[in-house]
Amino acid sequence: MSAVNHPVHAAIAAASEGLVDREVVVELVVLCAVAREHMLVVGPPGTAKSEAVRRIARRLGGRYFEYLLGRFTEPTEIFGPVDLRKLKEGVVETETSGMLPEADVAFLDEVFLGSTAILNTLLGILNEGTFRRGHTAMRCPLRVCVGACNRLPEDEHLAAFSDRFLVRVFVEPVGDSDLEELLARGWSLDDGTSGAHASMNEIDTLAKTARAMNMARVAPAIAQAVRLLRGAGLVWSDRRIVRAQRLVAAAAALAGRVEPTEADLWPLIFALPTEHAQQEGRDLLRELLARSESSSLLAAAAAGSLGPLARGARIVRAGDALLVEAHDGGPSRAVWSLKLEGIAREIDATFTEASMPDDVATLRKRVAAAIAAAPAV
Amino acid sequence: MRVDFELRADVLLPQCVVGVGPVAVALAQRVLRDLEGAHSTQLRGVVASDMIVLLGDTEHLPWVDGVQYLGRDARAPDLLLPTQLAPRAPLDAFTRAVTTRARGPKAPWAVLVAPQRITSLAEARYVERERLVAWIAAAAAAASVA
Repeated sequence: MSAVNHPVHAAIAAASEGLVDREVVVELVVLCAVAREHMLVVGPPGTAKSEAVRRIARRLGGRYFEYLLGRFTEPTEIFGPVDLRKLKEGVVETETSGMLPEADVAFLDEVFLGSTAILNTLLGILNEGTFRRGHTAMRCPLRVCVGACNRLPEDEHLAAFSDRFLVRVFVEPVGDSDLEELLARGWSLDDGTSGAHASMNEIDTLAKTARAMNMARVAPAIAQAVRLLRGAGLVWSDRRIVRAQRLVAAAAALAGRVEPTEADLWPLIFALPTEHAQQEGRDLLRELLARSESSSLLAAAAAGSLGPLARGARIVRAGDALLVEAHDGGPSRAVWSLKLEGIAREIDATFTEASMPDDVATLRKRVAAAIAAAPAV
Repeated sequence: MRVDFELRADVLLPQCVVGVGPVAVALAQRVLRDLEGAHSTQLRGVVASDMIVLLGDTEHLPWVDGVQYLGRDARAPDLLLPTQLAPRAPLDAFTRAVTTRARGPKAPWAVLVAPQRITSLAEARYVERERLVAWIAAAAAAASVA
């Protein structure tokens, strides 16, 4: 792993620690920051959407701006107040210090509740990276804006604004099987004083690397993906097709590659606009995505592609972490043994003997031996 | 109708676990070990002389080496299929073939690829300690005679 990738990888790992089932959100924020694209997280309230974004922003060392929009939110609450001294001179300038126009990472909860004035100004920032209001016109350092909502908007007037969020991720409340882990991790969640593991400099270097990549090797595969999706009635705009390439290049840069390969196509799934489209897309593109893998974005590559390499890598990471835990007996040993069975169950439900990658097969042997040595109490 | 199976991209959520032969005995012993009270409130199942099939939520399905997991494909709701495999035939045609070939009561049907078996789960009921103990004893007796 390069000198640039390593701190970003460390930031992702640190941000994901303590979160249950939100690693994909953390990883996609980083992918979008490198690709200079924006992201929408769709899910019910209380599903750690803002916590996941806040944690990765902190670990990346960026200036972070977060706000919960409402129908009566004033533009000054997002972009900053009018500079009164300048106003007396007849100049309408905005004091942007500490506000969204100066943020590296932004999170806007209930993003579609913003007024027309707010959304129109945001459109300029998301589209051109420029904040314009009154006499103020400035380039914004924003690497990624994450919008959150409970459901995708149905209002056609919001379609143009919604389309600026290229990446979509859909989250649900934690499943029954992960509740104990949620309670344990939630109890020990950090208090927000942990420092940065990386900086925006690394993100910018990776972005530059991504933009300079030669896409020739994967262009046919991306075109084939678009054709397959169109054949099933999943139509992408030309803009979305072109911009989706940035995600593929960003995935390659984060994986430490000098040019994208078939392993980096998995982000295409997250550029599909609805949850249903993403599910269909995984099925339609399963052969194209079968070789997906990423050393930095394990969870996202697995979730995007459902490809065996990516899924296997995620299972191996979870299994290795569990085997390292030591238990001396008592109820915790029984719980640990059940978790080991959960890993074994996931392995056997995911792979046949013939399709099992070598590292998964090795893990399976270790897990089976640990279960045999530690029967449930 | 001979049908080949292929790896599926969208692995099914396990909703059923099956043990055949010695694996079935190990599975039954595993279930018995955690069974509190006279019957389970989490696992329902059917048995044959050499097979146990259990239905339940994913996190409640036990694991022993050699079991197979089945799940439901939304396009074939009457079938429980291997979680990693899909028939190469269209699912509606495959479902018709299964229900035609299998005798006995109704859906759902558990479909195993290796060994090839189709088992009705219409009569599945909550696992009972007494029946499980008796089944294990009968299986052990059959194994010692064989």
